[in-house]
Amino acid sequence: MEPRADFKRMVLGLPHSTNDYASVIFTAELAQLLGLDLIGVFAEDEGLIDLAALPCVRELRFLGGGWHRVDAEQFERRSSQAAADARRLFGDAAKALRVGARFDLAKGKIGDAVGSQSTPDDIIVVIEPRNPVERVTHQFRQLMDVALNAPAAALLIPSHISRRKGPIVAVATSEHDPSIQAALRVAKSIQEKLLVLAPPDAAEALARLAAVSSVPVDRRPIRSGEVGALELGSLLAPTGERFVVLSRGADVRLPSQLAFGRGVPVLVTGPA
Amino acid sequence: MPSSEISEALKQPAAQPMPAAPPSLAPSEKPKPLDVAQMYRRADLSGLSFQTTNDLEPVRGIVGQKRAVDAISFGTRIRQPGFNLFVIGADGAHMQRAVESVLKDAGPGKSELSDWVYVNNFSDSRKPVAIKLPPGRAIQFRDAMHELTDDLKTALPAVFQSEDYQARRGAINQSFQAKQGEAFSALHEKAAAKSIAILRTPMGFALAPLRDGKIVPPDEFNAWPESQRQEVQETIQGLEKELEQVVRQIPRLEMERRDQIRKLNRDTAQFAVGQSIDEVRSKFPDLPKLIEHLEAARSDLVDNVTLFAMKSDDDGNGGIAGGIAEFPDGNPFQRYEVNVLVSHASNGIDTPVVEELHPTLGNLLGNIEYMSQHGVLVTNFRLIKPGAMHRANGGYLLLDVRNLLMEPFSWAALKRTLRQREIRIEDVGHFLGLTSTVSIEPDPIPLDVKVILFGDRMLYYILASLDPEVREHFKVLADFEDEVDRSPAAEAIHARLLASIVRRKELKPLDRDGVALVIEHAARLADHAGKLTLLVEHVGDLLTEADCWASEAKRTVIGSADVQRALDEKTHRASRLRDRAQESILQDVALIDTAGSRLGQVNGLSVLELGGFRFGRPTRITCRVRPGAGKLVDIEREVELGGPIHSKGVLILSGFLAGRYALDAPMSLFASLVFEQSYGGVEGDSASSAELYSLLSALAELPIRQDLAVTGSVNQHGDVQTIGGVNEKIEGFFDICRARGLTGNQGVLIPKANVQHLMLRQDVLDACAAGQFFVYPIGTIDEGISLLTGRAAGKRETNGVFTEGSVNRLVEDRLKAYAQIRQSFGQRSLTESGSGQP
Repeated sequence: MEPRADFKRMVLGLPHSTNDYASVIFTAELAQLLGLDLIGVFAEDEGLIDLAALPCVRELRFLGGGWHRVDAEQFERRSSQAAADARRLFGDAAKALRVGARFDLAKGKIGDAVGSQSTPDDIIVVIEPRNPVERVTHQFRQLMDVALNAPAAALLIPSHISRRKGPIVAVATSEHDPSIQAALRVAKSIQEKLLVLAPPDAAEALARLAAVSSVPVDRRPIRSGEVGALELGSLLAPTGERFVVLSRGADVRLPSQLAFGRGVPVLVTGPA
Repeated sequence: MPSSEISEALKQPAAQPMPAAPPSLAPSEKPKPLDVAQMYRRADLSGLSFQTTNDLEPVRGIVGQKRAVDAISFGTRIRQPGFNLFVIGADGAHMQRAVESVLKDAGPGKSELSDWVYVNNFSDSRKPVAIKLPPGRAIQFRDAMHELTDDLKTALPAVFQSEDYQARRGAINQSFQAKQGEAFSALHEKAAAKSIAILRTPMGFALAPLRDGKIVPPDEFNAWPESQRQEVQETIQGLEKELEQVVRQIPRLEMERRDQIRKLNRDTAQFAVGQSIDEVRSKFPDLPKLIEHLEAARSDLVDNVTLFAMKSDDDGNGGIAGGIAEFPDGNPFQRYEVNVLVSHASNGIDTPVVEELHPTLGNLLGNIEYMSQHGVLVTNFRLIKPGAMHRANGGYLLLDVRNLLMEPFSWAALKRTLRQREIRIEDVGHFLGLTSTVSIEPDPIPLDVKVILFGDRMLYYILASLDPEVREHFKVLADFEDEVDRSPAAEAIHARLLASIVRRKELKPLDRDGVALVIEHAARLADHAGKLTLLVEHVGDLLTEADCWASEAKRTVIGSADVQRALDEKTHRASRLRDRAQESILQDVALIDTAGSRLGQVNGLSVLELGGFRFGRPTRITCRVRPGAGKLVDIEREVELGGPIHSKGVLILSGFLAGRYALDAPMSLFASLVFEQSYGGVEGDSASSAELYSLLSALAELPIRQDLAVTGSVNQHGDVQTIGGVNEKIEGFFDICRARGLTGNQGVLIPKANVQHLMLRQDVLDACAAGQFFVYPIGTIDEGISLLTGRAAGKRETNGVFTEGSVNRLVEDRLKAYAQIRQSFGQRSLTESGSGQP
């Protein structure tokens, strides 16, 4: 499927922890800036209720609550409450920012729910949980997996945002890299300048782009081929970037390493 | 004694043989009326050459107040505590202007002036710190701190958004994320390797067996062999322990991360603020208190940079997202601002002279303002407002004592401040429990102020007698004279004083006659022909009015006609009550005779003062006598309409009678005295001579001339003593006589000692000059009674009795007759009761 530079919606897998709703607000801000509708998907995983029937499974409760047997009734009640909280917090954020928004309550796994909701015109948004345990949960891993492999673009939102100003950086492997067009659109929407990190042979095309673009376009050469997270971090460090756009590549961990390491949103585009 | 004998006794007092004819008053014995020259003293400006006041040099300094000026000068020189000034004098004495003039002439004070500022107390914001600075430096300091905060507003966010900071911060975060990630990844991989999933549940986390990437359903799990289930269970239990351990590490790792971030923030803030603070320090190297404050500000900035300089990110981990945080009371940098309480010119030579017209507690000692914030009143060091004490510190504070006493808490607060020698801002609301919000307690500021209170004498004397602290805190009394002795030299100075007033008030100049008339009026205001009033405000008002009349007459110079017009108009405006009183007399509503003679009846004179306007009014005083037990009844006192001084005057009459007459017999008189048609209170003893005349008339049965009026008090020896308001009293009787037609016999008896006070109206003088009206100076009761009755008063002869047929003889004989009557009544009573001699 051909990658799209124009997006219509952002499909956000809503977190279960209210601690992560600052990132939901940030996502809504981005949706407003980019002029996109926002779909909030909250998944009630009924399969988790089955855990109560597994004698070997216990629950480590928050705030030092210790290990307990899973209580199906309490489980359901808390799950419903979490859904209600999610609906309210998401609605508040969307209303405050006057973003076109819709809340979807899905049954099943979050990854599956988001995947089924999204289309190639969408951006699947994944928020990095603040709690490091959540980052290794089965659900988050699955959501990441769906996002990074779906036809839609993926946007990874770090739990900590380092900067709210700065250039939009496209990390391109060639002059045809879809990340350039996607980044250009983001730069126009957010009214920031565009910085393209691309191999030297893309210079001429980028010069032409700079000549016709309504936003300032800078370019900085990088070596050809895959660039690792560490190297890319060094390259980005002097730019003070606000937002990074890159294409899907061989290293599936690169986007999350970049996003969560540098504290900037990373948009992953291009064919899965 | 039979009743017929009593009648006889009354008719023929003391059984003395009747003279062939009563001794008439010899011309030499008749009191002489005053010459016109004695009734008005003209101004003598012969030693002063001028046409108008423009030719006169304005007087500099203060006229005729040497005593007060010396006191003020002394009070300003002495710096010890308690030597504050209490300046007293009559209204309109322009005491304040005089004091300000002395202070101005005194030049710079001995105290070194200081600027004062309040700054935030970073260790306890409820106790703002007061800092003393050399004059002119407070504004510099304020501006320097303002510039500093302005710089920091941009510098701090910039440095925290810099790539260097972000890189270091990112490195710390990544380092910790890596540590956490490693632990969790290892656990995850270990679990995954054993087909165990880490799951998020609504209340926490759980570990569950996986098969083909999905959680094993319970049915399937239960269908597993026991050994397999046991194995999974043991695996999960082992992983649970590890998960728990890893989770437990999170807070510790997070704390470490926060510490490192905090340290990074401190280092960054130190770098960002250090140079700016050092720049401010370098401007004030000589002021250790400022340096101390700057260091406290530096520490506070560094310690709290995430609280006020930048917006924390939402995880509360000290993260910096950039921008200034929004504080409820505005810019968070305001805590580093400087509240300049008092500032002076940098040369520090202008000693402050502050007058507080509205000395409320807040206006006096300063106050703490509040602002509403989310429905709660809050305050801080920037809302401390200075009071008059702060502004006057190092100089002089001028207060009107009446205004001061009328303000709740102010008098007590002033004394407390003077005693403590420091200005401590007091919040009345907190005293009274009116406000329950959190307030602040600013540092007190050392006090070095000279307080100068102004007030009238009565207020001072009352206050001094009721409040012993007055003498403790106001040791220097400056008592302003009301008048100055009148001499050609004094009149010349007064003329120059008029020139000063005219120029200050930007009035037309006065011509020579105008000056003379104003000076003569100044004597009238002083109630003394030999004095000139120093109440320049009244003179100034007269000049202002005269200027107005001169303008209306299209004159460029104020002449005597304008001055006289001003005087007449002023009198006219205020004289409604006087006119009504005179009207009632002329219409015989109030009975006053101005011709003929009446037994036991005399025209007394009284003065009424209402709203600053005084006028005289005749009052009929009558007396009736009969034998009695020696009681002189003052009807005014009996009905409690007489004041104590009036009563004293009447009682003196008893002393006079007892000492002069019937020395060998008990006083057997009953006499009643009354102010006819008097329905208000009567006070003063100026009518006591008139009362005595009426009493003597009644006793001697000699009628008193009603074309004369009398004023003067009397002592037990019969000396007539001075009284007040003599001019108004004479003029009051003159007005009635003139209205009825002057007969050429009418006049007024005044005490001799009052002649010096005479400054009569021109129409009175004209009548006197024409022989139509007379003013008689009277030294003794004998002089007065002889003039009033036309009969010689008489002297006690060598035979021990008064001159035959004289007033005194008649009185004494009557008193003896009363004594005989009383004695005979006493004997008859004894006989009738059987206890007396047969």
